[in-house]
Amino acid sequence: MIDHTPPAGDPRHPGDAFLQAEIDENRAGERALVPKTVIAIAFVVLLVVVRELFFA
Amino acid sequence: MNADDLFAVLGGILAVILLVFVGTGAIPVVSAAYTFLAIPVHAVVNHYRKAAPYTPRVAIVIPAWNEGAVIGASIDRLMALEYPLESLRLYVVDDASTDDTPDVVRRKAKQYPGNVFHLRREKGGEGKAHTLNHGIRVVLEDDWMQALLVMDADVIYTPNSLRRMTRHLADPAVGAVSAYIREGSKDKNYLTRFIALEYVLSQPAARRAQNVLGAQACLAGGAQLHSRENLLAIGGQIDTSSLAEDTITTFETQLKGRTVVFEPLAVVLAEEPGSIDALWKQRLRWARGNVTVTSRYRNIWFRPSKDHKLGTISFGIVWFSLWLLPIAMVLSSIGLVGLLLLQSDLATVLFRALWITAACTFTFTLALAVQLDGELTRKTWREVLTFPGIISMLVMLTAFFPGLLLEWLPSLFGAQLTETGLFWITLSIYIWISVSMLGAWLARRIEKTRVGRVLSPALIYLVGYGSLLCAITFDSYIKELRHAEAKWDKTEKTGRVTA
Repeated sequence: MIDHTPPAGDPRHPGDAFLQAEIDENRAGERALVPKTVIAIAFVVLLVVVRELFFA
Repeated sequence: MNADDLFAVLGGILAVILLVFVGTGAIPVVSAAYTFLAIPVHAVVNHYRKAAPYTPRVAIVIPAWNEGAVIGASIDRLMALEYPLESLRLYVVDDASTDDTPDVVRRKAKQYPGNVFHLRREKGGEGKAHTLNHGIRVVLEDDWMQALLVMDADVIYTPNSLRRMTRHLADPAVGAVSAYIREGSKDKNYLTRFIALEYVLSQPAARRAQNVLGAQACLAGGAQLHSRENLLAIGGQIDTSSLAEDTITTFETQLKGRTVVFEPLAVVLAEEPGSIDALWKQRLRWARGNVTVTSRYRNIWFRPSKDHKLGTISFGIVWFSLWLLPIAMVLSSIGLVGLLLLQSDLATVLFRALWITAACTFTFTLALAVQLDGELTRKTWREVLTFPGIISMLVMLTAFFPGLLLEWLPSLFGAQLTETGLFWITLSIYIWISVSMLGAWLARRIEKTRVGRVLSPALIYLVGYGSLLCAITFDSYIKELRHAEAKWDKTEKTGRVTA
């Protein structure tokens, strides 16, 4: 898990602008789920290809 | 109809029944694949759009029984959270502790005046829910509290976790928020590494999917944030009638029409059991609690509603797939063995279809999970590679690459399997999924013996961590059928968790 959120000036009272930026950044970070899923599916495809090429 | 015809008809009926049995084994596999395929949708369907900067006045209630070793440090860490101190109050409900818990908490109350409060129950031992309710009653006596955080004494909230949870309560439709409970023992052993991986699969992975599907199965007991309105709507207290108070609170929140949100970036570190016996007791409590939940909410399953998503077909399948997984495994074995004995060609076809689907699903879910918490899964790479169990992986290889293990491998040594040998190996493979639960049971039985210290971990690597969990669920069926006493066994904590 990579956390790109910059440290706040006053951690207890970082201000609404910082908190909103953190929300926006976290929301944007969720987009990484798509390529991660593609990579995971690629592993499955690789298995199936090996099976079809060598063990069909 | 002559006798031959009658036998043919009976054989056909039996074959169909066995076919259905084998099919039940596919349901949990397909359900897992479906759940994990919903995860990328969280890139678009998530609650961040409705979240907003919001730091309500939070009352934290911590149940504590003989937590003297850990409670002081827990309080210090909570007081150091990146959250407005004037909006934090901490109520430690001392459940008739017999160690130095009261002294430690009183010292902390003096150190943090107006922030830390010591509440004492003179009669304890009734369970976590009773202890929490003692604190909740005090918290609800005035209007100060806007949100209630329920947690365990030993967990560690990472500094930004609370504010990442409260931002979702800015949306009044949200009743409760949960965080990612991450295994955080500093001296991890094989079992805590398996649990760590299980938590990655079940939380940042599966609970993201549940965010997408609109129904959460359970708020983590160590990190439940409720809005005041939600707490009052569900009765102003935690359910005390079962061992599944977390799940019942989660269901009640959603049945009252409010949303439950899982926040994957709010990380809470927790100490999890380091022995099979301790894990067994903890999970048996959870599994028996789930029996209560399944029975209590029998009128909502598979009945879609406009007010909540707990009755959707997808949520029902996910719930029952987990709860009935051991039965599905046994039925699937019976089906395959039955077809083999009937000398049906379907046995081989179905076995391959079932285990190839399982292999693809395992590969997909694990490959995705390791990317969701790379830092943790780098430390658990052995458990990632062996999560289904080494023997189950060999079974998958047999299904996926026919001929590899039963023909090519023996031929390397100039050997060839006889027909009888092949039959017995096939039979062993077909019943393996059920037998693996016995292996897990055996691992627990011998764990405390001298040989068990080495053999138990080896057995878990061989049979798989999933089989261990299934064996525990199976035990819960037996305990329920016997109406065994359902008592609160507190999981022993030793302060091994570290930030």
